[in-house]
Amino acid sequence: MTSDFTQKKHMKILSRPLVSEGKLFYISPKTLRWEYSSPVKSILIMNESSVHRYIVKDTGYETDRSVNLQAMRIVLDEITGWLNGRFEDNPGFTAELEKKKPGRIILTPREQSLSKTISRIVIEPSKEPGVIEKITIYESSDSCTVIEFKNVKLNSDPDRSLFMELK
Amino acid sequence: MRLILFFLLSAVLSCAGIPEIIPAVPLDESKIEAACGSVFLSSSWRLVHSIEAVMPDGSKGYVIGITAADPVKGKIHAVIMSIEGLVVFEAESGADLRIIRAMPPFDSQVFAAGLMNDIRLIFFRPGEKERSGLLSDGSYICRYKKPDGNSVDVICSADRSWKILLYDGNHKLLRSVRASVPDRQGLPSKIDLKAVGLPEYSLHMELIESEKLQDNPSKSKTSGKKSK
Repeated sequence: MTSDFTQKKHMKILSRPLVSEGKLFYISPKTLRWEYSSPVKSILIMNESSVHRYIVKDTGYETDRSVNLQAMRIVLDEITGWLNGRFEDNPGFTAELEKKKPGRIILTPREQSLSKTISRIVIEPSKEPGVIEKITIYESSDSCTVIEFKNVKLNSDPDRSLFMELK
Repeated sequence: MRLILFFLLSAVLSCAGIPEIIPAVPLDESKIEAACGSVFLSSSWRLVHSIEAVMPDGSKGYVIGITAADPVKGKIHAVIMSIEGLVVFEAESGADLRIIRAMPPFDSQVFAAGLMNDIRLIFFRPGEKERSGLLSDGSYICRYKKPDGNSVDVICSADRSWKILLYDGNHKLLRSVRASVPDRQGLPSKIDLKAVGLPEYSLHMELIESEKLQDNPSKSKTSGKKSK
């Protein structure tokens, strides 16, 4: 699967959302490339068990050794599950399907330790079967990240070289 | 014996850094003061930066920093988040320091206080000017004495780029801040901060967004202009 995405960060400190844009490449079950083109050019690559983040600079790629990569690993594990349509078989979150259409999926952390980071996640499916239209990650009552997917291409079979470690 | 000499030499060399100020003619003093003053925020702003942090071990981390700064009230609201939008630190500082959210390794009072001090150093006027003048290369310099005994030098070059140097009471350099030429909004697009000593680290900041805030923070002007 490949997709463009727009990410909007909403916080009380911001008068308008901070907007990022990029592309997502995914191969089931756990191979993903999350690439930002703006405002910071960066690439997050998850390949089965490993996660690497790179910053794109004029001189090439710089490996990002931020400690928050561990937290991102948790989120990426969840995202790959959702992209596979696995919402319920999820050790980190309980899943609830809203009865009213369009049938949003509400994920709530099982562990209190995780709930301090993420209070809930809302997944909105697209009208197109198997496609997620929007994910909203709520960190607290006044902070959330909204990711909207567009130009989604299923079964697009991205080139495997996109998921290799960068040098 | 050699160890003692080494430490003595280091102490002497680190004290040697504070620049000598050449007094300016009275007509130039107001120009110098205006140049130094223009380095700092004079009203409230919200700033978003991409930040490359180089750690003591040389490794690099990248985050996004959001700062809402009110220099009149001395208040700062700071957020650090990952590029993916995950908030790893949020705190407010004014009369007191209040940590709103902090994930390891940002979850310490020491880190929070240090961050707020760095923000103040970069964006807030350090207090009353002690003296001003010129450097040997013709740059303008203003020296401020802080209540804690530290000194801050603000150096403005002919091309409008500037530096801020923080010294302790023994004239040992603690921090250096270098900024690129301000853009048409009056804000530098790039700022480099280097912390000298323990822990040693450096920050390279690039401005993503800026927004001038009105007195009521919920109403803001997006003109992006910094008042002079």
